[in-house]
Amino acid sequence: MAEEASSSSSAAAQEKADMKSAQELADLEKLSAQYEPDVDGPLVGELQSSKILEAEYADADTVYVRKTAALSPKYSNYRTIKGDGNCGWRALAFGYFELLLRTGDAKFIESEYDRIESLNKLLDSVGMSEYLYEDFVDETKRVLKAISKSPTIDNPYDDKLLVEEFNNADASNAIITHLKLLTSAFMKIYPDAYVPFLVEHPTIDEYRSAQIEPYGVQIDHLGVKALIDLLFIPAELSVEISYLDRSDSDEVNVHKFEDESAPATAKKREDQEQRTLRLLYRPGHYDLIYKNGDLAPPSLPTSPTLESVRVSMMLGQEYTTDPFRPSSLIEGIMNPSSNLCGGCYPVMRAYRSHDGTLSTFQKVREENKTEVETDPPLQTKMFRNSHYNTRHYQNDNFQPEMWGPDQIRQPKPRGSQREFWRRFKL
Amino acid sequence: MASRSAAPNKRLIQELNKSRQEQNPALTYLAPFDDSDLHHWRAGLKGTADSPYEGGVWEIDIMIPDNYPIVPPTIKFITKICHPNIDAKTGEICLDLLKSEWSAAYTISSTMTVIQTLLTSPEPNSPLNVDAAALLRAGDTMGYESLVRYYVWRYARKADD
Repeated sequence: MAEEASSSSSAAAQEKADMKSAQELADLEKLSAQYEPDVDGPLVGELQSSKILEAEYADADTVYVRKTAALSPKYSNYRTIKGDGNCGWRALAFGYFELLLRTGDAKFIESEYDRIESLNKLLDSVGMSEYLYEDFVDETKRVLKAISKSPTIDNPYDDKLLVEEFNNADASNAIITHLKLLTSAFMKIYPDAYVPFLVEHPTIDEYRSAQIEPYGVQIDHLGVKALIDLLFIPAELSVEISYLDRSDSDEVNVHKFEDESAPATAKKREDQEQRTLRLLYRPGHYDLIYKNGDLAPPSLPTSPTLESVRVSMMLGQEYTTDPFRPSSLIEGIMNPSSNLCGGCYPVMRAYRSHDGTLSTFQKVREENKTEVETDPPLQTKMFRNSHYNTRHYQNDNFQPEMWGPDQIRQPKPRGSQREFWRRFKL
Repeated sequence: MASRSAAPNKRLIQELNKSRQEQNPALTYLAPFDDSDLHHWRAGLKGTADSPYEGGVWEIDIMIPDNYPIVPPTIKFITKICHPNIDAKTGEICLDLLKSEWSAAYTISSTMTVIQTLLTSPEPNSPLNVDAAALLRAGDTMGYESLVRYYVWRYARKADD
């Protein structure tokens, strides 16, 4: 009797718990749907050292640690774009102006000015009245004019004017709105290249009105492709996107957008590397990265301090360079991949003698230096699986993986009523 | 600061001139509420013929933000209306165009045309007026249309009726 009662009450409790967890799940779902990431910072940031990326991911998943560590030797600099839903558009827009300016070629910028102006025909051809787009086009033209003129054109590597313009929300938003309208019109006029890739939207018109035209809707791959086809390819500029995600590889995956219509045998411009915009994509967000050669040497904000900050943050412990080899720090900057295993072997802490003489281990390391240096950073299996690895759960400094919601893709807003009103566009 | 509001004002003035030249057949009028404020408009929206909304005219309030047309205007019904996607109390409108799918290619006038179309193309699956939506979802078209007509007669009759 008592057993029966207890079993029935436990069943009821179970049911109650199920309901409770369902309710909790619904609440959580609601919360996550309402979640909006904090977005502060400038619309377009200043040029920074890409070491900052490494520091940012120091406590993250090893895949990120590995990829960001491999990133900074190749891509020296990094520029943040505000994650307000327009980052892809803004990154591409800013990058376009920056590439134009860096050519230092006023004639070329003027020819781009004329081309942009002639693209108004595209907007006319989809039935837009001039008064609807002229304000946006005017902003683009104004900034193009400004970078084609002295004194800006005389210092092609000085991004001050562009950073300023793009942090003026009105100018910046007008330019990306102009590009959105152009991309939308371009996709309508030349749908063949894009229709086969539509996934969620049955027609190109629905895609344009849901994904391209609205302000604040993240650009997707198809939109990126269309904008590049429209804006970069005709100007003989290239774009490459480096994907920093959890896919299993040692480096970011790079996708290059080039002119597909050109014959494979066509000779590339010699300076195509310099005419390439590089985007860094982390799921849901775009920033800009730069190769060492993209920038004039004086604007490189690389410094030894950053180097040591990076190393100590990555390993969660003090920087333990051998005091007798001050040059090792410099070496580390020259060849950042080499000093990770050498300078920061966690074992050293246990053996380092306080009087500054070389410990046994350091001596051994000196002897095996060449061998150690050929290893990629933190990549020996034995080290990774040992408790000396700060990312091993048995390590004293172990911290559970850091994870932020900005690493998940925001759900794309889906409309339900666009069916009937999209026909009423002017 | 002056340049900040200059651009949208220019666009708004042009929109206003355009709408004066070509009267939108969906509207009885469209104009700034007060001559001193170009960012606050009013409109009279007509119900489409051959629909339960026929004969009604609704006063619409249009607030235009400074960064229009990059962001959409805020549009509300002032006159009471019975419609699944319009809040009966606040007059708020549930329409993608006014939220996630706004595009700078729309004008105030073309937006009003879209709202007129919304009247006859209700979307009962995302209701703001649950009672009206429930009637439609239950398939009670006659009940729904009678209710709509009652609201038109009670609140939205033209003055000359």
